[in-house]
Amino acid sequence: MDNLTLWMIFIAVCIGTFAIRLSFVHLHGRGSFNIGKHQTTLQLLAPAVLAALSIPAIIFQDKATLDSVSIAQITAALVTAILAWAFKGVFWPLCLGMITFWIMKFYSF
Amino acid sequence: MSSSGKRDFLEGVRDLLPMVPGVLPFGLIAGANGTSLGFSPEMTIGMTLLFFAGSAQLAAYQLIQEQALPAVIIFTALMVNIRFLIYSATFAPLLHSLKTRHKWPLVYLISDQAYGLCATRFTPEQSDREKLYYFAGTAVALAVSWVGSVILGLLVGEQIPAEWSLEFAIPLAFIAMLVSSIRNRASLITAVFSALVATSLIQLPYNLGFIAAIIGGTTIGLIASSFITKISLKAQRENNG
Repeated sequence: MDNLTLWMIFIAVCIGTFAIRLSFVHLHGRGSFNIGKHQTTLQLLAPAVLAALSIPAIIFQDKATLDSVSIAQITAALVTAILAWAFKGVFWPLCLGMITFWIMKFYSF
Repeated sequence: MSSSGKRDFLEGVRDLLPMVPGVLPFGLIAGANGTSLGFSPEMTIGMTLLFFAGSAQLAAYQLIQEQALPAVIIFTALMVNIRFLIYSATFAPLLHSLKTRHKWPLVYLISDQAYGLCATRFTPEQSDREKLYYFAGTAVALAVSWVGSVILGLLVGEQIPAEWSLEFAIPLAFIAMLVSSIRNRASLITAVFSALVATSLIQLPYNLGFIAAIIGGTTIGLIASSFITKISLKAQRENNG
C-alpha cells in the first residue's frame, strides 16, 4: 500500500471517529434516538470484531497465503486466553502469551 | 484556570496515573509495529494522533499487513470505535453547551480510560465545572501517556529483530480483549460464530468473510440475546405463578 493511500485511510478514520465521539454531544437535547435501545448491539459488536480479527490470524501463520497452521501461535493464544479469563486483565496475559510463543518458536516444539 | 479548576484538573491527572501501566504496552506495540510495517516515524506518530484510539490502530495495522482493501480497514476501525457512541451519550450533558473551540478538543480526547474514570467517579453533588475540569485532567493525561508510549515504542522497535515476530502481539492482545468482552451467553455465541465465519470464509475476495463474520456474529448474538431474555422471563413468570 502506498503512503498516499495510507494517509487517506488515517484521515478517513480520524473524521469518522470524531463524528462518532461528537454524535451525542452534538445532538444532546434534540434527537429522539435512544441509545439505550441499541446498547445490546453495541456490546455485541466488540466480541464480533475482536473474534474476526484475532482467530484467523492466530490459526494461520500467514493469513494472506493460508500458510500452514501454527501450533506455536495457537498454544500462545490459549495461554493468553486462559490467563485473561482467570485474571481479568490484558497486560500480563499478553506478556506470558508472547513468552510462550517465543519459547515454542525458538525451540521448535 | 482558576485555583479550584486547577485542583479538579490535577485530581483527574492523578487518578489516571495508575492506568498508565495498562496503556504503556499498547503504545509500545503500536510504536514498534509501525516500524516493522515499514512506516516512517512521522507516519506512525501521524497515525497515532489522527486515530487517537489504540485498538482501532492495532486493528488497522493487522489489516494493512494482510493487504486488506482500504474501505475494509476504515470500516473495521470505525466498528472498533463504535463504542464511543456510548461515551458520547454519557458526556453529552456535560460537553453539549461548551463553545466549539473548547468542545471539539475535549470530544476528540474521549477515551476508554477517561470514560471509565469519569463514569465511576462523577457524583450528583459535583458541579458541571468540577466534572469538566476533572474530565479534562484525565483526558489530557491519557493523551500524553498514550502518545509518549507510542514514541517509546518507536525507539524500542528499531532495536527488536524481525525474527521475534512482534506483530503477533497484536492478535494476542485482541484475544485477551476478546475474553474480557465476553460477559454473557449472547456475547459468547457472537464470538464463536464470528470466529467460525471469519476462519471458514477466509479465502473469499475483498475480505468479505471478515465483514460477514462481524455482521453475522452480531446478528446471531442479538437473536440469541432476545431468545435468552424470553426464556428467563418465562422462567420468572413460572416461578412467580
